[in-house]
Amino acid sequence: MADRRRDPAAIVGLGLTEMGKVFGRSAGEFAGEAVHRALTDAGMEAGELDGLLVSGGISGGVEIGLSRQLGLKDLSLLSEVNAFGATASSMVTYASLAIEAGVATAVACVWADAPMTEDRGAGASYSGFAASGLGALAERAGLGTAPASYALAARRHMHRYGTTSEQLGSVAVQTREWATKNPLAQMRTPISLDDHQESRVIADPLHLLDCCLVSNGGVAVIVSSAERAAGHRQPPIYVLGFGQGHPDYEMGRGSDFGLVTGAKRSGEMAMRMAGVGVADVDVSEIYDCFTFTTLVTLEDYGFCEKGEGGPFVQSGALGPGGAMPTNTGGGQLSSFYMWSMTPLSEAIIQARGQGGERQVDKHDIVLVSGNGGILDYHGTLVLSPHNHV
Amino acid sequence: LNTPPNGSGVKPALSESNERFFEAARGGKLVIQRCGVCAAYQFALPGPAAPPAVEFCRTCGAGRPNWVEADGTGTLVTYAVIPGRRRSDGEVVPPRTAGFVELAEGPWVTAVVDCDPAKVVVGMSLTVTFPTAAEETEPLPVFVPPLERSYS
Repeated sequence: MADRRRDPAAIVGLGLTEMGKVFGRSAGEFAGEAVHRALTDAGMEAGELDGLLVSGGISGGVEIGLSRQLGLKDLSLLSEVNAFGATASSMVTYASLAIEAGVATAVACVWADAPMTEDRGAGASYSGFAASGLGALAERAGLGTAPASYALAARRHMHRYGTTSEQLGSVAVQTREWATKNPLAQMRTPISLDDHQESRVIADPLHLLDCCLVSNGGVAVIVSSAERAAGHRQPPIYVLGFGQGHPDYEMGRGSDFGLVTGAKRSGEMAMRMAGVGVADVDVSEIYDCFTFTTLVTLEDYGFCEKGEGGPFVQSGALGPGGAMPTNTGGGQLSSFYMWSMTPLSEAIIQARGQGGERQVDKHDIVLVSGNGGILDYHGTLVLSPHNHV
Repeated sequence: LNTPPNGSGVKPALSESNERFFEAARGGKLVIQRCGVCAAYQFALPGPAAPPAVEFCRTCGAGRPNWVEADGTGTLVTYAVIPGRRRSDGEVVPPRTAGFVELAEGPWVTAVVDCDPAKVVVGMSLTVTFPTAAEETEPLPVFVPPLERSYS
């Protein structure tokens, strides 16, 4: 297993487009704009990039041809990356590896999506995927949606460990509390536990306020070599550790589905590489497609014992002033849904100390998660404004 | 109670690798796959990205596990209750309980659970039925508690 690396690569640029219900623009346009914004943020010219990694959501249209649209010449690294909700951490990982191997010196990683149209709401944007063969059994049973699948995972955890809907609701309430402090968040009105309990049932046990938003937009980051990182406009944010964990659940007797996720393996790997433990983590930015995802990810990372995620989140640890500030921008639940770019972008903002009203005082070690499929794919990053622990 | 999910309008794509399942289902039988080499039972993985059937034994890697009749009994691993709704075309979709059923042989099957929602509990015993489906759709396994075979 990898030890701490001597010269970790650093994130030097962050670009966020306008996002949310922004219509009339393709994912490709959002992607291009996000890269330009990240370059501006870093104080770099497009010509200084020698690598580009691209990824799109469900609308398509973010492809390696983006390099031509951006006029990026003579790249030494160019590829499309897809690990679903674990894509952002994967892109930063591959960019870091390429930089540390001397293959590239400055790599833009961009993700964008435009699933929503003016006549099609958030839920409809994510419905109607064609299933084939026996995979269609889930769809035909009424379980062909992400909320239904995560409801199955959450129910299993609830049954095994006694986790409650109110505990899931406490994640929604605390995450929204952060969102009230983020001008970029789509949902900034505070909510109560009652609001959560009274919100309509999407797929019991999950209510509407257990579910993330859907957004159009794009986000890009620029990963640079450690030597060049210091010369940019923004303080460099070092990629101290990375890890992945993809469990391939057995979906039969003895399966860990809903109980233990890839976060366990991924988190251990990333934190060991960074030379830190959970006690060192100052801020957590967790992929929160559903409240349950936050709860089970924190549990698998080791912030509490297995099965104790419910009481842990209910303690108020996640919100402003809590013991483990989590999803400090409002997460996917309340700020915006840029897949794994949501936690990554907020992690960079917090690590730089640019969180404004929501800035966490101590931000030396920031943990970032990505989660794709139905808890199938997991990625972790450990970021820091310092290049060593 | 759930109603049979007729008229869902979703017809599964048949392929050489999974037509045995739907053939058997039309005859009211549940078949799953069993490796001809190591005898491990297995069944299709759920989800849009899943292959149409298990192509390689997930235990030993041997090709094309055989189709064998399952006992048809199992226990409920987890479930979701999807509220009823009115579709954009006006059709009313009734509430539905569905989840993963762990078959006696071990694999999980994604299926509707036809039971009074107030009586659904994780771990309950269930038996497979195949309610008569509309002609244009393939039959779907529906699991019921023993002695509550409302469609058989």
